Amino acid sequence: MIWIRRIRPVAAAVVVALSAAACGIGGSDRAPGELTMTVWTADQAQLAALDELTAEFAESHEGTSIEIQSIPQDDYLTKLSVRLSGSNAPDVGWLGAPDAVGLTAAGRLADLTAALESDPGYALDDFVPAAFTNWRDDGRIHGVPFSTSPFFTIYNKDLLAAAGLPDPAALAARGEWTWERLAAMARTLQPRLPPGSYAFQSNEGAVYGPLVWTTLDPLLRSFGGAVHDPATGECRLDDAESVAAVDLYHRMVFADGTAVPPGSEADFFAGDAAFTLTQLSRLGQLEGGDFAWGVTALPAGPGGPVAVTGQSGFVAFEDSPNRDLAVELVKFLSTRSSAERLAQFYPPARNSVLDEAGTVYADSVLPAQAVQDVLVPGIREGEPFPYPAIWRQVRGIAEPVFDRLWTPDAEVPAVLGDICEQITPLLEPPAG
Amino acid sequence: VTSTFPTAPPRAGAVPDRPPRRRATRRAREALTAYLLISPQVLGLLLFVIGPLVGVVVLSFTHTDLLYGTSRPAGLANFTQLASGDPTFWHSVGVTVVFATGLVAINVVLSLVLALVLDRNLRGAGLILTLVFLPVVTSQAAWAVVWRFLLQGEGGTVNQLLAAVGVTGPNWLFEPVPALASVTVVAALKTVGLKAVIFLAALRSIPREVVEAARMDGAGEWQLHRRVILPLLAPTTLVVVIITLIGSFQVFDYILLMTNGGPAHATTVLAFYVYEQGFELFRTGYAAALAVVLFALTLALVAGQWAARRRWVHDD
Repeated sequence: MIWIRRIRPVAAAVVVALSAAACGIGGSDRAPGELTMTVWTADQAQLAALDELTAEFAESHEGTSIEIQSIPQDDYLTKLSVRLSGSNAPDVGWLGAPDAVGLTAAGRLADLTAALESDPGYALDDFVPAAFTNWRDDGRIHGVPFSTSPFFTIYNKDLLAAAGLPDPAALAARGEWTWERLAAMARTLQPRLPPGSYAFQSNEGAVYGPLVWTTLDPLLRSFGGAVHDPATGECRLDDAESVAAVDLYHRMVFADGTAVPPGSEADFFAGDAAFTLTQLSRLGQLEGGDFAWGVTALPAGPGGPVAVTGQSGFVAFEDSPNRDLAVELVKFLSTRSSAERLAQFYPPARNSVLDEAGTVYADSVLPAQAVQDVLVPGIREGEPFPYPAIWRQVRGIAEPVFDRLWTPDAEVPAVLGDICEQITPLLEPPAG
Repeated sequence: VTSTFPTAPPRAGAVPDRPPRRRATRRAREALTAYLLISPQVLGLLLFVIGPLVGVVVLSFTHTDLLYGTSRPAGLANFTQLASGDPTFWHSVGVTVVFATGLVAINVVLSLVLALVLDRNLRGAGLILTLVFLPVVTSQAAWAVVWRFLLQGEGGTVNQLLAAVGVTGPNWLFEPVPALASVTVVAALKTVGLKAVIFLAALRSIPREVVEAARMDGAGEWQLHRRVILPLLAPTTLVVVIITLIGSFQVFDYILLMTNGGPAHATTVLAFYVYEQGFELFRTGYAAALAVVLFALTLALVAGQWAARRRWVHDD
């Protein structure tokens, strides 16, 4: 058996290799009480604040230590998915609302309800009404939002003043800040702008990409429309109200030429646009800018004024070997005291912290008046986009169809009708 | 069975052979040392190449969602779905074929023409070669992002140049046909310099006597190139075509950075579709099935080309 003799050394090499590999890639070697928490921020001030809070938690829970692991946001979900499918799942993590909804439905997130409801000191009723829209499923809470960031309008005061146009904040105070008014102002403004600049930019141009849903949401709601009705599972993109809303934006881009078209890199923060919709976390880009700016609420529409928020939250993972401790950590990080300390970075969803907004945001880039008139009501009255459980599949099917909207001769009702036809089978209403 | 070979008589003055047992022990020790030395390489190959490859094949027969942590056997369901229930798959195959054909044609023709011109030792040839080679050493991501800016519909440099000669350019990356054409040309231009250098080296290795003999036989420039030089370049052309073709099936970064697969899947090549299904939608099992098909298609194409080489490669 010559071949056996020949193959023996090869087999030995394989065994050596595999043994070495087995030593290196074994399962999680964390001891009980050693928690890991994944976040996507790399901001040192934010990480320091989280470090401080987790150190306090470790002090009050003997034998506990917490390691915060920062993963770049672009890779966050991919890396998390690999870790969740192996034996190296984190105990606690940040999640965006759409992913939290899907992971809740898949049973990957720990149930926080008992821990949060049983402690009167936690004050679950302190949260704003829509805080748990995407974090509560069938009455059970699976995450707590640490950031409930409202969308608002930001505008270039210099460009508006040069064109003799009124201040949108003043218009909003009189109830006259509407999409139709914005479109009309944009038509006046556009001829006065240099080539390559536009009157209006969608939220960082996201209307032409994967974030089209949340970018269109404020517009749709102000017209009385919506993407879907989460209670009935009905697609509402082809409602007359939704069609009118998208039609207005389509007109601004292709007929009026006043909104940043697809493919253009024009950016409000670089001074290339007069209006955009944005969130608090984006305002850092204004540092060093050479134009005066102002903020006001989202434009209203035929459906009335709207307030829309985007959320991220703390979750504990169901497969954590320290699940109970992880649940406690989520609870600790979302108490009133913790929320107040994190509020300078992440807009809080707790009413009691919002009551102190003047103090909390004293050093914010946002003017004090805007904190009271825009930020606080934006959170208190804000509604996040209600994500269906199989959001990723809805996105995957609908986004290529959305692309057909962004041509000059697109038939808006037909395209929106086509999207509804394709996503309706996925938008099942909640059981019961 | 006994050996029929006669045993060689000991050479005069030769050192007497060591006892067979000691020799066997030494050989075993040498073999063990050798295998231990290659074991890191074997480990790397097993862990990072063979293991994942086998893993992908296994995954392709499951309904696995990496994010939601669900997995169950699927049999051939993923393959049945992509063959008959997923029009986007067939669309992406079509896009891949168009992209690959365009890339190979542009790349081979441009680089060959460039090499033929540069082979004439014209003044400034070195400068031209340097300029054409610059994109090769440029970061692929930077190349794609710069072109995304140049190809903006309004205000993009390409459209401004077209406007200067009275032509209204399209919104290159947001209209289906121009988008696919744009990513194909941008990807092709990136490596023309490299392929031109390969062709140039092959051209300079053609014996002068062969060219002179053809000229003495009365061959004109066209006949010389058509009948002598191009056939002698056939092995190099085959290598360039295969390299380009394999590269075209793996293209991903241009698509991600320039069009994200859009508009309306117009630039979704098969490799990008695998990424979209696997890492955007986390349909890991289905993405694995797509990857297996992509692998099989690439293998079949290369094998076909390799088999066909006898018909049109004259390398003796």
